[in-house]
Amino acid sequence: TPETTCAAAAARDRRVDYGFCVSRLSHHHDSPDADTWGLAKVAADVGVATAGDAVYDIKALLAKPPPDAQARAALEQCQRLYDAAEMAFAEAYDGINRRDYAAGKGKAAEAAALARRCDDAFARAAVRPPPQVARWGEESSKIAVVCTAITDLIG
Amino acid sequence: MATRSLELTLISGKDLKDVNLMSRMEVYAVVSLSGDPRSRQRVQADRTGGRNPTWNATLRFAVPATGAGSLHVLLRAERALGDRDVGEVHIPLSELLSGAPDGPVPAKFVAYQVRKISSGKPQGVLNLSYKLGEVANGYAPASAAQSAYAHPPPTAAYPPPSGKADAYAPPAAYPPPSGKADAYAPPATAYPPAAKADAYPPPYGAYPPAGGKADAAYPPSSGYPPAAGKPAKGGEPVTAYPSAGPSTAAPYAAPPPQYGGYGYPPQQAAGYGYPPPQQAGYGYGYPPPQAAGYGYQQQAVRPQKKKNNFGMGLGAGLLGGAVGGLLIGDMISDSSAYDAGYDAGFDDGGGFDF
Repeated sequence: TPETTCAAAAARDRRVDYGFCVSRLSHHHDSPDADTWGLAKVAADVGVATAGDAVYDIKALLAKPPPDAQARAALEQCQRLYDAAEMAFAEAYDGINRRDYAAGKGKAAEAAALARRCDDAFARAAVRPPPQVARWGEESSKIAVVCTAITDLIG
Repeated sequence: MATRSLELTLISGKDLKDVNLMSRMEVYAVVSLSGDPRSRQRVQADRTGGRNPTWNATLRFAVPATGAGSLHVLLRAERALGDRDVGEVHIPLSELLSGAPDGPVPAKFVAYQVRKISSGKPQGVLNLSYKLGEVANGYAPASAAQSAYAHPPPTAAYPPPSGKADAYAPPAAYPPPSGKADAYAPPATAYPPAAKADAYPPPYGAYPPAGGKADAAYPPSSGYPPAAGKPAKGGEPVTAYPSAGPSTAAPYAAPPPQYGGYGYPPQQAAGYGYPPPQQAGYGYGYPPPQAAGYGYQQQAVRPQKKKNNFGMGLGAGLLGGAVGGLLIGDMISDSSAYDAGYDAGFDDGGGFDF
């Protein structure tokens, strides 16, 4: 179950946020009857959705572009970064699905790194990121950690 | 418990999210009643439609006559390396059964926003139609099934999928209303206010907030025209509620005057494709004669109500799957996140000077 798997993952890796893990995995329609392998894939799929939501929100923000040119440029870069993060999570899913766990974990880590670069873009512009962009960054990082930790439990 | 048969036809999807990295999507659907895994049915993938699949597949369900529960449509992309979620639609059964008589109800066409799983953000449209069998008590399944089969074949009532798809594409939907409005100037007598009021009692108080939500829900980047007012218009066809055509003449009093007023009975087949944009056009830019305007305002308002119901349905769907207090708490948290996301996004958009 998501509860037991998240507990095991949190015990193995202190970076795993148990509450976040249970919340995100439990809402996925594949989680009720999933084994550990299935839940690792669920985590990657949640990552795809999370990065996709970030892209969605950033597009909405760019529809009414901020007056600050640097903030706008940072948002545009973030959109590209989260697009790439979404694909990385998708490749993580594919890797885990074909039982290439090393590749899966690598792609999950890559997705988290891409999301962090969005925060860096705002930092370089000396502009605070919009709250929802900051939130997606945090959630992308958290779900990548969850995905990696659960993948380590397989076997 | 009293039940009735629901004959659901998934017609097509439009502008779905592309979840494939390189190849074209092959989208299939899994439909179930909330809280009843045994009711799950699958619709074969459309191999060629990509982000705009066409299925024209009919499924049958026995549903509570009370309208309790909801219908869940899950859209997925079929992939060799593991299927992927495209989006989902939650439809409260009360929405489908609302106002339905106990006897059989002929086909109605509706469109719903497809929402991304977990976040609920809109991405694309699902076109479907449904028929209802008569309410049956006791030996419901057999009786309901017989009623369902007594109806004419679904294919006989459907226009070409491409026509339907065109009808739900906002860019293509805007030119027709202008022409249609000119061509279909209805006589006042075709729209008795009393009848319309009875048929579509609008919750006027709910209109402005729902309209605002529509604006928020359709940013230009999601494929709708960029003008501020346009998103709301674009949203209307999605939730329009056109009648099925001549087959509905017998059970309904309202449709005959409406079609008679148009004066184009031979074009009823074409009418299948245009009712949504036409109604949207009248509601937002083409004030017809007073009586007619009254009638169309009623219809324009109703979609907004559907949006509200949809929100409730989404909650109902989640509740149907909830187990224990933890999940309920989590769902509340998710709802907050959903609202916060929208509010924060558009507030910050206006004031980016930190």
